[in-house]
Amino acid sequence: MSDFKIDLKKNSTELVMVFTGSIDEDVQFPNVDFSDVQSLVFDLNQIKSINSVGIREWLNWIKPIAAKFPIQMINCPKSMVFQFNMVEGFLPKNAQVKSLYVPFYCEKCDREENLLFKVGEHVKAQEQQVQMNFQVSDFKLCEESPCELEIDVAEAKYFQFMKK
Amino acid sequence: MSVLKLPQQILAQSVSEQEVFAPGSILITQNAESSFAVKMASQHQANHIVDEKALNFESEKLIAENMILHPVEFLNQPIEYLLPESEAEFSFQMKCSSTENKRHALGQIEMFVRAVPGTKSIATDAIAALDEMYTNASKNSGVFYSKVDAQGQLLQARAGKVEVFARASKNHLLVGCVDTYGLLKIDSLMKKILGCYENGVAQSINMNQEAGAGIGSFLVYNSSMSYYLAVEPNKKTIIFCAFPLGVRTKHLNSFAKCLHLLTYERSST
Repeated sequence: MSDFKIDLKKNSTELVMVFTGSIDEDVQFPNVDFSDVQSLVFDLNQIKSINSVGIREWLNWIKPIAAKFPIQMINCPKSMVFQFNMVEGFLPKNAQVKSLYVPFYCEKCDREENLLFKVGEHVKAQEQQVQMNFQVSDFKLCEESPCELEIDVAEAKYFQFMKK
Repeated sequence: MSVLKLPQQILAQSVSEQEVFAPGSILITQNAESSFAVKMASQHQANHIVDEKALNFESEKLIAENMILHPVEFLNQPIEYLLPESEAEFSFQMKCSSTENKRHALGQIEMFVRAVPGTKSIATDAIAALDEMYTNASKNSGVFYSKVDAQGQLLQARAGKVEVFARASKNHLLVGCVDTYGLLKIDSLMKKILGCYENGVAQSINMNQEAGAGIGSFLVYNSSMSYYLAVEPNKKTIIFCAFPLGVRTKHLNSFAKCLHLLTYERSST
């Protein structure tokens, strides 16, 4: 029995789709009525995991949709960002990532945090280079001063999909 | 008393196109790329590739020696050769039938993995790896995705067992599956994994929805630091992989990979 579901919310001609659960061999992507829809927003924050069969099911499902509608992906978890970078077509050409979670770690507190980066504000791609523009203090997470939260991914690899 | 010849260790300084490694040899690499070990296995019949930059280089060489010199013992008790209980800080084992609810089984092992100290950065990968291994064992081996035989009769699932393991030392976590089908073809698997590296993952996906996607083993190999495969044809398949403990996410790829392969048929005498 799959724990996967998509909740829908229509804002005028924009359809927001909130994904929850695991994308695996039991996933069943629902038939969605795209009448009067001009654009899509995929909120991926609650995706728990994705396996190899899930990757295939995602590719099969998203390809025809991306051919018709521009898609904005928001609140993308690390597991989905890895797929954007690793699997061609997982982030279709007609889709853009608007926000994604970036792992951070504080050696002093032995603490991990996932910070939500907004593309265009905290990170952007310019001429095949990825530039980051953030202060950890902006996220108001750590009361220790100075905060020692550091990015915990290889930046060039993690944001590779933005260069494509 | 017979003296067992120690496996030959070969430095992978340069390998010619035609070179084929003798069974019982251990190829020592030096900070090689992830795809190199698979290439050596697929194109040059290397069965044991151990990198000097591996987290546990000496232990990996010992594992290779034991798999070469004691294959029957390894097939009988693989986890004892990979990480003996005497050296383990934490241990988990669970027997499942092939039709057992996968989520329940994985839920149990996820609780164990997340409770082991130092798994924060690798827990998701380790559980994902077990998902792939368990799915391959229980579904692809036992249940043939509605396949039919030559007469058009639906193939029935063979009853079988899947056993999942997780064991942690001070510096690494070992997870794996043993099934009672023994259907894995190691040569084909190495070709598939190499294909993912050389042609891309998307190009390697099997789009036939009546079977697995064909990239699961690549995902396991790519995310782990050591990969162990052993098959007793039509009897048993053993798959394990290892992850480092207490390592930050951005340093996970700093350990070069080790690969160990064994196909062995016991004599009937």
